[in-house]
Amino acid sequence: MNLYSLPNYFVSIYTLSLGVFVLACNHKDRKNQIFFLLALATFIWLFFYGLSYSIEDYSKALITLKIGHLSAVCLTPIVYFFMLEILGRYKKKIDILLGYLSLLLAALCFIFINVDSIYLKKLVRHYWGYYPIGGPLMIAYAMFTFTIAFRAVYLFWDAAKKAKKELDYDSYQRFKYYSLSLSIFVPASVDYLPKFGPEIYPFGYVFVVAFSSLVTYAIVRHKLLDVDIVIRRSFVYSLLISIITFIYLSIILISEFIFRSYFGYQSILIAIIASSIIAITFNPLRFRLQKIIDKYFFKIDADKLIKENFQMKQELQHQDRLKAVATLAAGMAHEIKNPLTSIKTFAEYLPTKYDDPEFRSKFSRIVSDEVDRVNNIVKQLLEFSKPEELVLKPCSIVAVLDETLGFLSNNLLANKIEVTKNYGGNPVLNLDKNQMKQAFLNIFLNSIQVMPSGGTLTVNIGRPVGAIHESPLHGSRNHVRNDEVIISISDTGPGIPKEHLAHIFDPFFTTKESGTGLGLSIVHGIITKHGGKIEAKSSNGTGATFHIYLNKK
Amino acid sequence: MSLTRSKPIVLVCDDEEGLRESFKLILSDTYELKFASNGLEAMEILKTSTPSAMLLDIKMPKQNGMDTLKQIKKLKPSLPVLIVTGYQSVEMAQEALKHGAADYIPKPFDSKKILATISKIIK
Repeated sequence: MNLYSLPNYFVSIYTLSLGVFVLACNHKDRKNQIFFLLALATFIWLFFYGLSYSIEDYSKALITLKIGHLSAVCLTPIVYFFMLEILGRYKKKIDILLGYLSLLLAALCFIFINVDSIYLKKLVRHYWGYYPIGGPLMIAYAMFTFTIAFRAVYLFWDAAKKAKKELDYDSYQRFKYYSLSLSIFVPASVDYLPKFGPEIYPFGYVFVVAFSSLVTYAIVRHKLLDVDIVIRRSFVYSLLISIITFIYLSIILISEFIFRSYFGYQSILIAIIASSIIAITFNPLRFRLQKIIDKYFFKIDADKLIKENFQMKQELQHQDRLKAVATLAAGMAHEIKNPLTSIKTFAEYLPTKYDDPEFRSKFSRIVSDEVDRVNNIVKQLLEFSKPEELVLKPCSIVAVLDETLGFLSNNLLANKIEVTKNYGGNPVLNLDKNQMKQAFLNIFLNSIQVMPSGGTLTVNIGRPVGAIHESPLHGSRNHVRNDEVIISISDTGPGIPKEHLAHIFDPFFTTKESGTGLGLSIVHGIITKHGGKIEAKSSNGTGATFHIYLNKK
Repeated sequence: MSLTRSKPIVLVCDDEEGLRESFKLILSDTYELKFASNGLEAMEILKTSTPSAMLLDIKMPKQNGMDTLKQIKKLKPSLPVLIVTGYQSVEMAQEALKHGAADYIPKPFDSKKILATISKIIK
């Protein structure tokens, strides 16, 4: 047994275990499935490479390395498609094309693996075992892999910035993790170096450990810790693994030299002794490393950092609130300036035009309307910003919906709007009845306004129906969790253009000729306060649907 | 026989009646006014007539003022357009001027300032 193979075996089994673990956590999620594939490909790559180091026969080593190599080739498209899956709406068309190009190039590698000198030139015997020398196709593929790996790191970083801008803190953290883990994965390509000449022991597996651990953490953990803490941990462990590998290989090399020179044989005993030394020194070494890194790189210890991280999150939320208030104030200023301008102009002309009866009639109508408008804006704004505490009591969703529809029966009749109710049950939830009525009222009023010449208003309790374009800002969902109830309200109006979907819950966003643009913001506020979620879906020309997800508890 | 010089035409594009009536009060003695309540209406009017100046709001339904300004500059590059809006930001003013607006007045405005600016941009 070649002792250089051991780290490969260890890392390959470790990565495969993570892959199985991630798949077991949620085998239906596409990203978990792709990660499993990624772990499987990594396992085959490292395992077969490890195996080949132990093989003395050239042709057998060649076959083993080819299997390992083809698996490594698969990693590029798998990692890339994994990234596209996670990026979701942040991906661009060019990236999808690049994904298919990576598949095409991988297929070429498969085709030419057995053609001499195109992909693989020959095997060279190094001190750790046989290793291939790459042909022109391998060089091209390695360069392509590098390019798209850097693009992937950039795309995740960019998506993180965008998510932060949209105040989506969770996605921001998640994208930061992926960006970081990929940038750690890129140096794993040091394994390519011996393929082009330099005799450097392929230690890429050190980076594979850090990458797979980070990605597993990002996929499995629901609430992520701040990325700084994880950087620190992964830094410590990567360094630790590097040091351990270095110690292990040094012991093996020296002992092998001594044993071969003096006794002429190699012993498995050395590996056992080396492993024991490492096992004994592992914890004190980790502790020391952690201290050194904390002291010289991060200045404070991890517990303090966690505390700081918590404070930082609170501060960030506070800043987000301030930003929302600033947006609100800017919107409100704009809305109020229009009526103020009319009032100011009419007041200015009052002394000179007072005798003109037409002026007087317009004055009383317009000034009075504009004052009402300002009053209405202020009223709605107060309602929007009022930090009114929720008074939660168990109440029936059907009763809340029916009572709200009852208020509107005249409006519905006058607008020739037919109401279809599909109540798949009558869940009783802990709600603030008045606030929830206000939320439904605003949605219904919105629906009535978009169907001036009649239509159908459909109210569902249960699974969502229809829906094409999604409101990305507020996180679209394709599934309903068991612990939540979904209420869907659909209209048959003109629908919401795709470009407006991301903004319809923003304060003062309106496309109507009249209206303050606060109605749906109020709805969003009420639903969020209840711990629920609201999303809008629409296909231009075929109506809009609002899905409201409320927790059963 | 008396010679009556016809008044210069000013096109006012604003979605709010209160504002349109305000402009009427300020400008009707000096200018002949045409009104549009959104960008699309304004473009229709501009196809058949050439006013001496135009007042344009930014936030309007159907087609906003900035998009309208870009279209106007393609159709009638020499028409002086005065942006009158409640958005009081340097960026907005710069954006409007970049797209060819003659000037920028924030709301609420002073009637004398409106009159002075229009007479300046018509010259």
